[in-house]
Amino acid sequence: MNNAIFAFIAYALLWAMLIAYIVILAKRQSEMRGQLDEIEHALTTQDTKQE
Amino acid sequence: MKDLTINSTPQKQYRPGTSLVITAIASTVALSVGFYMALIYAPEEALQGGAQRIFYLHVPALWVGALAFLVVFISSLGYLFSRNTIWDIIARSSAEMGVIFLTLGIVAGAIWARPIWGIWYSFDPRGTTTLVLWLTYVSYIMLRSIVGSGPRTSRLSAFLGIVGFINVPLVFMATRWWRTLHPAPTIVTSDSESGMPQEMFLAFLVCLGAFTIFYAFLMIYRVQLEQIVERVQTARSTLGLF
Repeated sequence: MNNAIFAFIAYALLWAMLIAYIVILAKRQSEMRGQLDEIEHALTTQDTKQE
Repeated sequence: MKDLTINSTPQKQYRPGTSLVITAIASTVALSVGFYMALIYAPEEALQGGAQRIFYLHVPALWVGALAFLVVFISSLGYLFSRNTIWDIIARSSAEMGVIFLTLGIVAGAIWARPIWGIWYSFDPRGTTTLVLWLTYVSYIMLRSIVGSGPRTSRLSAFLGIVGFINVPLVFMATRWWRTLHPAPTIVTSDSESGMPQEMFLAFLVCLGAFTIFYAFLMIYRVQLEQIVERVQTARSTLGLF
C-alpha cells in the first residue's frame, strides 16, 4: 500500500474526531441553554402569578 | 424576580465572547494554512514517503495533550489553594481536551508506525509512558463522572491532576534517557538547531501554532459549557427541582 494512504487516513480521522467532538459540545450547550431558558421562564411565570 | 439566584454564584465568572469568536476564526485560518503546508508545501521525505506527513499531525496533537495536562496541573493547584470553582472547571475541561488530543496523537502515531516499523504499536519507553499518561487522565475523567460533582470530587480530582502530571516530563525525556524505537529528537537537536529542512520545520511550526490556537478555542467553548451547566444546577437546586 502507498505510504501516502496512511497519511490520508490519519488526517481524515483527525477531522472526523474533532468535528464529532465539536458537534457533541454544541448539542450539549444547546440542551443546557434550553434548560436554563425553561427555568427562567418558569420563574417569571411564578412571579407574575404571585403579583 | 427570583432569577437573581441563577446568576448569583459567588465565584468570579469567566465570560468568553469576543475571545471565542477570535480563536474560532484564528484556528480555522491557522489549521487551513497548517494542513496546506503539511500536505503540499513541505517536501516529501526521501525514505518514508507520504507517511512522514503524519508527523505534522502526530507531534502537535501530543504537544497540545501535554499543554492541556499542564493546564490541569496549574488549575488543580489553583483550586486547592483558592477553592474557587473556576479552577476546577478549567481543570476538568482541559483534562478532556488533553485526552482527546493525546488519543489523536497516539492513533496518528500508530498509523505512521504500521508502514514504517511494520507494527501498529511498540511498548518502548516513549510508547509505554504515553499510554500510562493516557490511562491516568482517562481515569481522572472516569473518577469525575462516577463520583459526581461536589467539593470532595473536585479535591480528589485536583490531587489526581497534580500527581498525573509527573508522567509528562517522563514522556518528553523518554527518547533521551532510554533506548527506544522512537526516532531521536529531530526538531531541536543537542546543538539547538533543527535537524529538519527549513520547509519541513516551517510547516511543523505552523501546525504546532494552529493546534495550540485550536486548543484555546475548544477550551473557551468547553469552559463556557461548564458554566452554563453550573448555572442550571444552581437554579434547579434553588428551585428544589432535585
